Amino acid sequence: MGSRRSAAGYLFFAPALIVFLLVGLYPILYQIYLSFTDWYLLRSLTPVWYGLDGYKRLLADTVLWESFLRTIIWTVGTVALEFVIGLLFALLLNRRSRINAILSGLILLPWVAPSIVVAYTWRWLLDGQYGALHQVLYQFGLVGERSLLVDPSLALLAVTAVSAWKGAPFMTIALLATLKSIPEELYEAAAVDGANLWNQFRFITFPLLIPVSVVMSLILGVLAFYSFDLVWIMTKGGPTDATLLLGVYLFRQFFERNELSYAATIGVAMLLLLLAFSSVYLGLLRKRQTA
Amino acid sequence: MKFRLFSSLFVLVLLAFALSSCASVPAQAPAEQPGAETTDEGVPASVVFWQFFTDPPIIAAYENAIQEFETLHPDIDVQMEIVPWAEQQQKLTTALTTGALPDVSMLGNNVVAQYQAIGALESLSPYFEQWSEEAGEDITADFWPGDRYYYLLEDEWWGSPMNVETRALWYRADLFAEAGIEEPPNTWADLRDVAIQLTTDDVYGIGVPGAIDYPTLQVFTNVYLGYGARFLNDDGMCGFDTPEFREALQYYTDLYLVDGVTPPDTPNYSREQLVQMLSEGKLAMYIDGPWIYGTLAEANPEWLPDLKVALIPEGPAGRYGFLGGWPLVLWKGSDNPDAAWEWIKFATDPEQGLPDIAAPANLPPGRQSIADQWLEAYEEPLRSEFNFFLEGLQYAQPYQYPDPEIPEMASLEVDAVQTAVQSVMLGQSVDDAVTQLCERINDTLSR
Amino acid sequence: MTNKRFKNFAFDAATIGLVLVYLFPIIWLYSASLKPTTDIVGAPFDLLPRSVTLSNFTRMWNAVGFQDALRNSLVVALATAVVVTSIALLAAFSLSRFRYRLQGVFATTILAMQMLPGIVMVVPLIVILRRMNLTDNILGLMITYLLLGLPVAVWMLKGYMDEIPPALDEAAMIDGATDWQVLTRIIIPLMAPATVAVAAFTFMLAWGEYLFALSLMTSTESKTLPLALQAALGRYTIDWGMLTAGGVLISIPPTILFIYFQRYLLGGLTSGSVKG
Repeated sequence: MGSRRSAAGYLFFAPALIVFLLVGLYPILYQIYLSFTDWYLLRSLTPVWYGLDGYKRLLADTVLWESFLRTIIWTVGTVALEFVIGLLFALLLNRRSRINAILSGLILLPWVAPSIVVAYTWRWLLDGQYGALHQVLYQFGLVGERSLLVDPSLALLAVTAVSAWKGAPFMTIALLATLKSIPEELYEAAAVDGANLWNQFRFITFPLLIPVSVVMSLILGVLAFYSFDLVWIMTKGGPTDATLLLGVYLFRQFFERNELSYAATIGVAMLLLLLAFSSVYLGLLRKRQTA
Repeated sequence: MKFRLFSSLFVLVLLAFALSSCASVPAQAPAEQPGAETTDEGVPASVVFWQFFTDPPIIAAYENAIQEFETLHPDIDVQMEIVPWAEQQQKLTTALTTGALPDVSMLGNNVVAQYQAIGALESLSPYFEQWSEEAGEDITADFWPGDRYYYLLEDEWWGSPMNVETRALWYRADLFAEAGIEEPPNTWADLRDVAIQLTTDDVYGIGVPGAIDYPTLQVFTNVYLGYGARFLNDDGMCGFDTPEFREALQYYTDLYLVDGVTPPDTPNYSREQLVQMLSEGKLAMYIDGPWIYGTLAEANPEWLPDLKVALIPEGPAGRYGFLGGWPLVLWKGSDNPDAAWEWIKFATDPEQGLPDIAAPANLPPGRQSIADQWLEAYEEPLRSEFNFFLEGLQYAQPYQYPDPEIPEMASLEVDAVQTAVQSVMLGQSVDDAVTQLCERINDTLSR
Repeated sequence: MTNKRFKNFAFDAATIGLVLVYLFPIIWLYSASLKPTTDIVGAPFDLLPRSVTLSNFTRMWNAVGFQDALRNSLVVALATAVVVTSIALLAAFSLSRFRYRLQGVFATTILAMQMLPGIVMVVPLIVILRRMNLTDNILGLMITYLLLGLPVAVWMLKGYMDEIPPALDEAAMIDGATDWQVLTRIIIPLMAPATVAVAAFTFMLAWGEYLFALSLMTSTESKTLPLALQAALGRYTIDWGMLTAGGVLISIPPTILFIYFQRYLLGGLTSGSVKG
């Protein structure tokens, strides 16, 4: 491919660059600035320089650290469940069958549905008074009279399951695409050598799925770690902070407590974590591209 | 290497840009408009007024009042702008930083102290004194008793009451009769006994809110004030670490934990869920304001005529309710404070604008002298029932009664007390919940 | 042979069964939206409605603020789709067809921005938009959606553009075409379906977005659909029927768009990872 005048290249990129600078980079830098200030709307209407005290507060904030731990559990749980559901459906849908073309489309519905719809539907299904699913669980003695979402020890599990339910189709599709790219001859050769279905899966399918699984888990993991909508709408972080994730905590500080600068400090901390995540992600991508 | 140099320069330039732009914004305060305060040349003094309701009948009432006012005061031009309740806080915050405040606005009674504390409001005391002199009596004596804890701060008045509201006990007379109960409960202890008797397989004796939401605090306030607990102690810090408060908290949560007279999902339930259950006939008692009647009338259950109202029960320390409402306030920096005051006075005067403006909100007016006039608008049998809301206003107080409102309340009322209620309902001990509650409150108060 | 046929049948049945179980909440939502309210509360287990009614939809349609919200959502989502796709086409063209010093930096920026979640940007963006008086304003909301939509759009379009042989545009340039003409006359027509698919995807992003809409849009007239649905919970009661109807109405456009453009989107979305 012949190289062209670089000025034109810059020119065509300019509009996107302006967007990234003004709506991406500038707010990030502004947030970093805010994180070094004290801006409590009940005290002052403008930020006041505060140095590192915001970060000291962050380190000493036990609620925040609990949310951090909870967010990790939620993230790992979400991704693990997504992988299990995704793998199951990918294997089932990979079979050559007329119905599977339709089903692979239908299975995307939860992923496509806006989170507000998903959150309300599940909140209702699990409601202690009106919930259809709650009544099923109650009949089987799996829950008591009150909803899963009212039980502090089970609410996190419940919202994690819903989050995995919504995200699993994305994993399914990625795994399915990879499965379809595995040449049939590999299995035929293995069958000739006498390998049964389990061994075919273990020695051919699974190893070939590992790279895509890792990358997809990372993407879905970042999505889960930074999620807000589903939990906010379903539980607002409750009951008694049982589902308080970092994103919900940040939102609460900003909108309910009017602690603008502290919310910014949490935002910066979350950005730093993202930096770590994305360098792993970019590293993996590069490795795959060179491989 | 070259790239790194370029990128760090780049970041520096942007940083400079970012810092300079945030430094320059507050400087954009509005330029003084020369001559805006001179009214003698025949140019009417303009008064910008922010009104928070979007309901057409309320807007129409204000428009009429403004017209009437401007006929009386041809030298004043009142410009009403509609800023919906949901938006007003953000709009006011923005206006405070940019200086584009109105001259007069409504304000939630709970945030008057917050804006007073940052010096954004003008004191109304001098105006009230003059008004009292003209009237020949202390006009503030006509306010509802609880309003002084909202608007009388540092010995000065900061708001002129427009509407007030309080809650009462709604109950199903038919279910009471079936259970052989003749009277609605008069004390919290009675309420508990009655609720136990009324609870059956299909009906819960009472629905109390337990979610992290305003109704939980507003219903629980009735209980803890009745038990003699105080939000603040004499040092102005958390006053909940007392036997009275513990007893109240124990009482409220026992309704759920011990007696099971309120639904299984109570810790997550707020007004929406409970009114829904009430309308489906699944609750025998429920505490809320007069506004739920419309919803229930729409659902039109067969027992609607048996839906009655009673006063909030009394506790060991007496009978207390929760007081809500809103005043008109005068913002500092108004170009025409005297003209602005004239509008506030007209709109909140029981002999001028107040009766007509307050009525369409369907809540009682801010002056006791015209309360009966408000009640006339309702027909029997609703009128006798709604009378209990007026009677309840004599007992209605803010969360921090008997102390004046504190600026931090707007932040504390969001979740502090509710978290304690919910935690105990979900298994925490009362002692631990109170300790954590006071830590939270003191933490906020010392910020 | 019969054994194999039986096995296929068993697998089909199992797959259908599992997918149905998995989709139960969605099926139930659609079914509930057609039930009268009494059945929704009274007979929640019926997957198929006993009697079908459209009254939930008419109530939702006539609910205060719903039509405003529908209009707002359409305006925001369409405008975001058009602006994002246009800017992304130019940027993808730049990354795919030119060679310049900062190209690697730009490409990396896009990849990194693609991972930037809304929640870490919400504080500064809201503060800035408040200062610019762009809260409760469709333009302000759109600005935040540019950030959310642009990186993915650039990346997907770049993937499709890379697949068009450069020989085609080189030939056109020899004939005297300018860069602009190459983009608008050769490349865009060749990847028109993919471009529309990317626009559809951006539309979906903006259509269902909740966090920024919640933070920015406060008045009844300026709310978007997800917020209007929340408002439909009612001040005092929950109208489950109306809520399910609203849920269905919000879900339909993205569902149709996605199913229609599936082929392009799935390839594009996973290209960053799967194709490598």
